[in-house]
Amino acid sequence: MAAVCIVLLAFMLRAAYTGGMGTILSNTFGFITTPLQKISASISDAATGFFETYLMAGAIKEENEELKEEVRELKKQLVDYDELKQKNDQYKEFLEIKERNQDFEFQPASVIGRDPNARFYSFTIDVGTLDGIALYDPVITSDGLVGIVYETAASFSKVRTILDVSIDVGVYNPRTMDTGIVTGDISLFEDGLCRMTYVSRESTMQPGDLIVTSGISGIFPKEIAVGEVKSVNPENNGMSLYCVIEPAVDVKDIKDVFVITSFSGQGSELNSDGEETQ
Amino acid sequence: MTRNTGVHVLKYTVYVLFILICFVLQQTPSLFSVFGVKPVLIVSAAVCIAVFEGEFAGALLGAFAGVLCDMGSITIFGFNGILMLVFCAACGLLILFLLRPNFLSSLMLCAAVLFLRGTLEYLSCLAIWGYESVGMYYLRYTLPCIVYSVAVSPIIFIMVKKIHFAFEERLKD
Repeated sequence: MAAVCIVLLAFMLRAAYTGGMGTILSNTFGFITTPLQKISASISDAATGFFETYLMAGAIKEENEELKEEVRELKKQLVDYDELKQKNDQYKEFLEIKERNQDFEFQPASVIGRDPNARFYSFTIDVGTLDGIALYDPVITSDGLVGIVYETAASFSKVRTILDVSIDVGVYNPRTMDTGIVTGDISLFEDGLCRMTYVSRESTMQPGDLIVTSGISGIFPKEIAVGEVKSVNPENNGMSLYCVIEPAVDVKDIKDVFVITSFSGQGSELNSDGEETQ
Repeated sequence: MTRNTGVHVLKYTVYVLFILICFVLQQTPSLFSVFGVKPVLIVSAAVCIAVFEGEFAGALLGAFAGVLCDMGSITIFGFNGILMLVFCAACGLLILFLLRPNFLSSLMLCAAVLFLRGTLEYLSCLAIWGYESVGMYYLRYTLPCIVYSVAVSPIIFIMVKKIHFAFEERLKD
């Protein structure tokens, strides 16, 4: 007993002498107790947290509700932002086309349906007769021609694309002034391509040439981009050439379009001298 | 209105909603699209309903499904409506006189109706005009669409069966 007391006293004196430096005993004990203290502290924290949850349940619930409300508000803002961004992009396109073609009257539309039986990527848009859409109104994007309205109802319309075999578009090449008809081709449409037929055998058209609408039928406005020439080939009969055209618009994936409800020369055909006839 | 009438009204309302949901799903751009081919869900839905509900209700709901088909497809309005009315009435009668209302019969009838409807639509909208390489379109798009639609018809069958028996239970109670 006395020996233990003397040892402890010795440790005390040494501690006093070294001025706070840990003794061997305290260091040894420290190695054992520190991990235990850590565990105990973490258990204590957890227990305090556990009971705090119940003790402060009211406040936490209130805070939770506030945060939830904030998240809801932020989500709503995000949706509004996306909508506004989409609308902004759409109106930018709108402005671009309007600046290029002052005589056009448009109706912006979104693609709302693609039927499993829809042929040649035809689709349904969210505007109809109530929005001023009429049969055979041309459908475009800022990149170029998409197709034509072939059925209208009060609130929706169906659009046939330029890949459809039943659509013929009068076109010309602004570089060579060669004219032709762009139509769909079953063997090409899978690759998103169409065909320009009735091209003169003497034509100097080349791959990369831009093709635009001629406006000759009065259905499509003049000088809307249709696509780019991919290749020029002779027809089977050898009398003329045909070109494979890559449409300016990827009709498989478009989401927003513009329907031209009115343009100068609509419904009137151009005669051989380029004059309009009703 | 008796309780049974109420249950019947509710049942047919659920069927109409089910067909509408199928229509919206099949119309949604890019949804269920595999290599550019999408399944026709409402045809299977109408046939399965005809299998469980008989020729009269089947024909009416079939006509409704057909009209929805016409709203989305390239055909003249009413084409699918009339076809589906006739086909669903025929399915109902076949179940009444020759077949049992089970999974195999439904699958067989769905396949037959999808094939006939798809082929008739192809013949009347494309083949009749004699476009170049038109047969390729049938092989590349019409047939895969039919096969895909038949492949998903068991899911439709299970759903219609669940609706049918849920209401049968209520009618028995």
